[in-house]
Amino acid sequence: MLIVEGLEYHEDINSVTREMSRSESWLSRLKLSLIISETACNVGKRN
Amino acid sequence: MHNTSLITVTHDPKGRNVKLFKELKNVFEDIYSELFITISEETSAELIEELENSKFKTKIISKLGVAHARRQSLSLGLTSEAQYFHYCDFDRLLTWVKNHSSELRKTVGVIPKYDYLIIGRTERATQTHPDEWLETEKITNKICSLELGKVVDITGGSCSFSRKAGNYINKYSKEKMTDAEWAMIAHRLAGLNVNS
Repeated sequence: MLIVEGLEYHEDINSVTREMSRSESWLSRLKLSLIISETACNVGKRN
Repeated sequence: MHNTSLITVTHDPKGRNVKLFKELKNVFEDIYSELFITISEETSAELIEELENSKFKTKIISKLGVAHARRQSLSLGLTSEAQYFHYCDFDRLLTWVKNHSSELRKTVGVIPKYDYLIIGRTERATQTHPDEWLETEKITNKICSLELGKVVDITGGSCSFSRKAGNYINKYSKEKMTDAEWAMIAHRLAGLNVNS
């Protein structure tokens, strides 16, 4: 497995550009997780 | 010997990455054979100017989401003769070059060994992320790992692939997020090995 140190998070560089409350941030990441996960389950199976 | 090109995307309305890019652009130019970036039209004029005056091949695009930007970036990269591509979000790339440039150089060096490579994070790098990223990405990575039959860190924001895989992705990518989609296109539609 190729894992790297470089894909680390720095608030000043890697935070999202849109301002959000803490709860909005959690919801945004939750939605993102759902979209990516659904894609993983579906892509290539229905084509 | 350079034979891997970088494809990346940026949306930076406040130009917060201008200074860092100025400091680090020579490193990018040294590591990769060619550099391709799509830039949202809302990105700061200063960053656009810096990128256009560098060795990056640039394309200004409408702000239609990161998946659209990534597809446009790949399409731009495929206009070259490059045989292998490294995709990484621009902000993540800046962090990588700033703090671990030798590791990036080494990673880019192994890319031609793989049809498709999901680049993951060490436990230490993972733990630098906010709680809401960590908790939600656990589920995403679990599901993607089950679908691929191997442990992957699909949410790290970086992958690499051959030109053959890139052509498949360019043809079939249409989803709202590409993190898992591109790997699944390579795995299920192109029948290529997806490594992690």
